[in-house]
Amino acid sequence: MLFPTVQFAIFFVVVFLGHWLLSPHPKPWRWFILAASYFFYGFWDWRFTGLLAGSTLINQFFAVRIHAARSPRARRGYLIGAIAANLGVLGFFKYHGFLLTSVVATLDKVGISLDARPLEVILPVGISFFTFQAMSYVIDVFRERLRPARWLDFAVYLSFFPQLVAGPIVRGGEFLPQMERPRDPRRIDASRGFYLIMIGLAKKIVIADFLASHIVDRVFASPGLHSGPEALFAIYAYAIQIYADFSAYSDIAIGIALLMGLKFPENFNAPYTAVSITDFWRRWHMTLSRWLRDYLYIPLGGNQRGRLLTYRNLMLTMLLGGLWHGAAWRFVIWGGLHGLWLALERLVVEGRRARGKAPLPDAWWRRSLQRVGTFHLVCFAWVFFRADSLGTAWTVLGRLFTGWGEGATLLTPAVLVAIAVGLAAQYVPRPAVNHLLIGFSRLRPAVQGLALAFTLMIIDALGPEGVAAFIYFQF
Amino acid sequence: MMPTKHTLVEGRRVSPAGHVLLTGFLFLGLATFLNAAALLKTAERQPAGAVRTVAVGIMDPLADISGVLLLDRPRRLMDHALGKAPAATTDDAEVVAGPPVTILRPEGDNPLPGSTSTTSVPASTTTTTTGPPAGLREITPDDPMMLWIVGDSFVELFGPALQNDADDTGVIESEVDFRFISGLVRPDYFDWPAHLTGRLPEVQPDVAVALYGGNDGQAIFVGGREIPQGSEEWYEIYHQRVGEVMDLLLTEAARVYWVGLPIMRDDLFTEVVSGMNRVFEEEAAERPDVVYLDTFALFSDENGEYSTYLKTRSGDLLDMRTEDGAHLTWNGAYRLSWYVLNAIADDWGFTDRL
Repeated sequence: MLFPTVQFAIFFVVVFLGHWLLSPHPKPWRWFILAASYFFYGFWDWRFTGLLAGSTLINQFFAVRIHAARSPRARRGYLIGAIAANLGVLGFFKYHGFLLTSVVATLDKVGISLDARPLEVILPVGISFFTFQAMSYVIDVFRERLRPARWLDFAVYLSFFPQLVAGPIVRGGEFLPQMERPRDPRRIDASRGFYLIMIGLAKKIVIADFLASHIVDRVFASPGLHSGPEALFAIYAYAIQIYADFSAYSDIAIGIALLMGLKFPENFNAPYTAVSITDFWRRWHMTLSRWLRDYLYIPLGGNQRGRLLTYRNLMLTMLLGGLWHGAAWRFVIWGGLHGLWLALERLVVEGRRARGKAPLPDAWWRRSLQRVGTFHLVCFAWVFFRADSLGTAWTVLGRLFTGWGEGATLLTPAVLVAIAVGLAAQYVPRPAVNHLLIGFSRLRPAVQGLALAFTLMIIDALGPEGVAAFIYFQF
Repeated sequence: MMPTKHTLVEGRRVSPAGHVLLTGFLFLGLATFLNAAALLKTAERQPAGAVRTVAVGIMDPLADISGVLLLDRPRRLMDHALGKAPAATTDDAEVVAGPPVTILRPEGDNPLPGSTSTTSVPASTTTTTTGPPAGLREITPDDPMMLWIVGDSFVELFGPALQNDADDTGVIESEVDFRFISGLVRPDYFDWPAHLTGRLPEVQPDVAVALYGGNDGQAIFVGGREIPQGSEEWYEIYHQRVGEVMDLLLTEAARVYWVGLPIMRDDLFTEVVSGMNRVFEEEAAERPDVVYLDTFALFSDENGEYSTYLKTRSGDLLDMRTEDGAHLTWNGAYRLSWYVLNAIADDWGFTDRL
């Protein structure tokens, strides 16, 4: 069930009513939310719900066993069991085709013909998200940062519909305590909730889907047949598209949770205003960044074991972060590029420090240059992320150096405006948005409803017909 | 102590659930009336069945009320200002595919070939023939063939793949024109014959490649009457519509290549697809300038079964079909593209350029 659909609007009205009516009754509330979440997930394919239930049972089993185990060895054994089970499930559904075809191709090159074919399995929507969420829960229990939740609570946490299929990756320590505290039905931060839902719809429908259909998909489908300017702006447009698409889902998820009295962590913070790649990763998919930091980079040793190992850890973390997005070498390259740049940035900063040089003074022109440079490095990596193959990626990049004398029919004013708006929106100061919300929050419900209805009409009119699935569903 | 209703969050006034619900109802209710025509159109485009019946049953009177109360006016004004057709008409189904764009081969440019095209398997046997083909005009780099690729969502990747491969020959210009969730059974959603009639004089194709049917496994409505898919009457009408599109394309194109649908993961869908393929084949057989290209074998494994992964000519095992068990991946698109291009090159005598 996609967020920007009539089905979801009807579903959410029913869930909203049931949620607040049942809130004073914790157990029925939990069962209700669990049923609603499974209905939401099963709407794609009812068979997926079995996997979600299986993941819940396995992870809760290991969390309970870890907590109950007395010896460190047993605790570690259960942890390894949990991680192996999660990665096994993820590997089977997401990576077995990639691994097997890579093995077959490699063997074929050395003259060994292997007659093996990947199984016909469907990749369940959002499997990477809820698997990472479950792993964070078990690891937090292992680290004694979290006590195992009750079975029903954990089931609700793992399946909670707003963030189930595309994040944010909410940690047990953020969600489970909110289930314990009574939610006050008189204190809903509705203005921010509605704002996030509407801005999410606008980003998805007006910006992301528009840019996808009017330039990005065309250029990346046949890059050799498009001019240099079209290739350049298609790359910019994809940078805006993927931000608008993914952050839209996060915005809507966070907004829906807010209307239900629950707080989710922020997932994006104007990533294209970043002044470095390090800064970019503090602003882009923040819940994945911190997951990779806390459950991969730091356990690998982080920056505590010398410079070389720090660079290795950065590289490994980003390579695996790339692979998390999909089973293809282009995602590995995308992660590798970010890993390389993070390592280089660290090398430069540490080099200056070692030479006793003070950090460069802050100046607007330097910040601007850093922003432009960072944006272009990020865009360069997006080419590999978006292209269907490495060959296509190189062709897109090759077009940047050829074909500048040709026409650019795809560079319509609407496309340029959409790219400009997508970039400019990153620089809207938060106080200005909050000022708007303060005004909205003081309006009467009827006026609020009127304003929202007209806003939705404008969004719907500006967007193309139909709704494309969110990009991050495939991850 | 419980905070009062006037408690602020960063200066914002918080609301009680009742207010939020009231706001939500007003918002969704008014939005429904403001967008009633568009919602009715969306409902009408659903495949025949209970969901469509209920959705249309609800939206039809609401659209009428919206019109009477003039609540549809703001949206109409906006659509007009944006240059969009009013929601009530049936020929504005841009969906998310966007407008068609002709891609011309840049003069003097020799673009890089698509990397995946080299891994495709030509399933048709080709013989190297050059020179002017019988009954067809000679195509040269100076006087290239105009290739028009039309169809439903199966063309989304197949179209660009064929464009890329065709461009490498140096004697073909091309255009892709596809619409998601369209077909030949639901002219109320997208009227392909009307669209083709309008665009043919502008495109003036030498060759048309058509791939339809992916969304046609559903009932046909005639005068409000539902004709179930697979019934004798359904096949009669489908024959007429397929024939009509072939004839339309032949008004400009010297030759039409009608691509059959591939085997599907779902057995029932495969059965439906086989029935439609028979229609395509029979209609093509009645027209000497329509070539039917069967794709079942191309996308079946050695046992004649569906398989997501198939080996290419070079021995690589690649995914050819998407998660839905129906549509083509890029690898599948290039596999089909190579097959179709070989058939065209065979007919038109430029196999030496492949």
